[in-house]
Amino acid sequence: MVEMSVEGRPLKESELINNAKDGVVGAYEQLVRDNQGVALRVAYLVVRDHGEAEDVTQNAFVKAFQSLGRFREGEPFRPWLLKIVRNEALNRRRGSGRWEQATLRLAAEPPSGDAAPSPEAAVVMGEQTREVLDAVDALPMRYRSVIEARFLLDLSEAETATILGLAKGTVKSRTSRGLVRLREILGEDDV
Amino acid sequence: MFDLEARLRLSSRAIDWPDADVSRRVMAAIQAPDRYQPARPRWALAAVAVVAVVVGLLVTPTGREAVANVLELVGIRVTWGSTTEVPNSARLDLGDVVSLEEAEELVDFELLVPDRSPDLIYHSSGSIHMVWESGDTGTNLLYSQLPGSQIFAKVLEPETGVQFVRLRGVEGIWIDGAPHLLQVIGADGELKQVETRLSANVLAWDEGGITHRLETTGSLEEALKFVSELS
Repeated sequence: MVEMSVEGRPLKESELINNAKDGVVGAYEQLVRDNQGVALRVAYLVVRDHGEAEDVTQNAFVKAFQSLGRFREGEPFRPWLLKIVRNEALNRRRGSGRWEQATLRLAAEPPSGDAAPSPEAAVVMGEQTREVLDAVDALPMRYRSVIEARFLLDLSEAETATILGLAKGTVKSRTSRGLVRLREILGEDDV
Repeated sequence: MFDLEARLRLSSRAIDWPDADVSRRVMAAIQAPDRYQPARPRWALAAVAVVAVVVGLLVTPTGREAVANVLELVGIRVTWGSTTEVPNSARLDLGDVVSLEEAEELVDFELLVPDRSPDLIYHSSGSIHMVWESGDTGTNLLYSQLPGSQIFAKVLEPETGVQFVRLRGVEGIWIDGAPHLLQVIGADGELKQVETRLSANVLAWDEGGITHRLETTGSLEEALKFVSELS
């Protein structure tokens, strides 16, 4: 249920955060609902397993709640939260002792709203998608994490900078260099 | 053909993303007995710890043990020992010399690199060490990035300075003035000693499961300036 103010309008994020700090249960639940989709994606890109991504996301939300006292009023909540999620996911992955990277799973069905492609077109699209995602996985970590954040998670430069602990200028330059490296991996650097 | 950025975004739509509703699980965990209070700001704990260190260093060994418990609250455990435990300070074996590009390929984490290029980069067991040498004075700066968190510091002299500092959004520890040991729990769960040179000051912090350790003959201000230039 959406947390409402006494006037009956949905509360702004800053109001939800203040209410959550004051111990209003429904306020933090609303923040979880509003942000869990992207949080799960951030976790999944690191741990590459749905169940583990859910565990990581749950733990990260609990840790974020326990750290709300440190959250600076007026700053955006999402990048602050996603940094906690990513760190939790990295810790989980290292703690599991698994260093090899599993590949990202592709959905069996096209995204809702898309017209269903012909079987042949679906095969071609699937192959091209796999090729692009494998190329991203082959990037050095410093480029991969930026490319994933900007294009697979569709985060802004500012959000990416916060989550990865980088300057915005560094995000910009790594995005540019990462795309160049990606073209090299895909064999398109002379196009 | 679509440009690469558009193809990346299209590929994202084809990924089988998890879409579970975790809100109930989160709220159940938060509302479990004695959990339902936002934690106090960790900087407040760090401030308590810094004060406690200063007091603890002036009191008895029993007092020091109590201080160690306080420090453990912020994820870094400090204990006190005797100078008889000073380890061999023989020159560190840092591993194989590699290029920056090789270093980035060899590790499974995002390598932080300072503005000023290191004189030498070494790789050893998944860790990267960057060295800056200063003429005939030998190594004067060593920056290591090691998989594994949980930092254990053993202070060997009462006059050793220990303080918490806030950097890159996390708490770090600055140790200066006298010998100490620094150990890290690695990804394999084993305790690794990472302190090998005893004359320098050390700034250490954990960021996303990677322990960062900067050893320098310089001041804390200089160390923090170095850290601010990492990207």
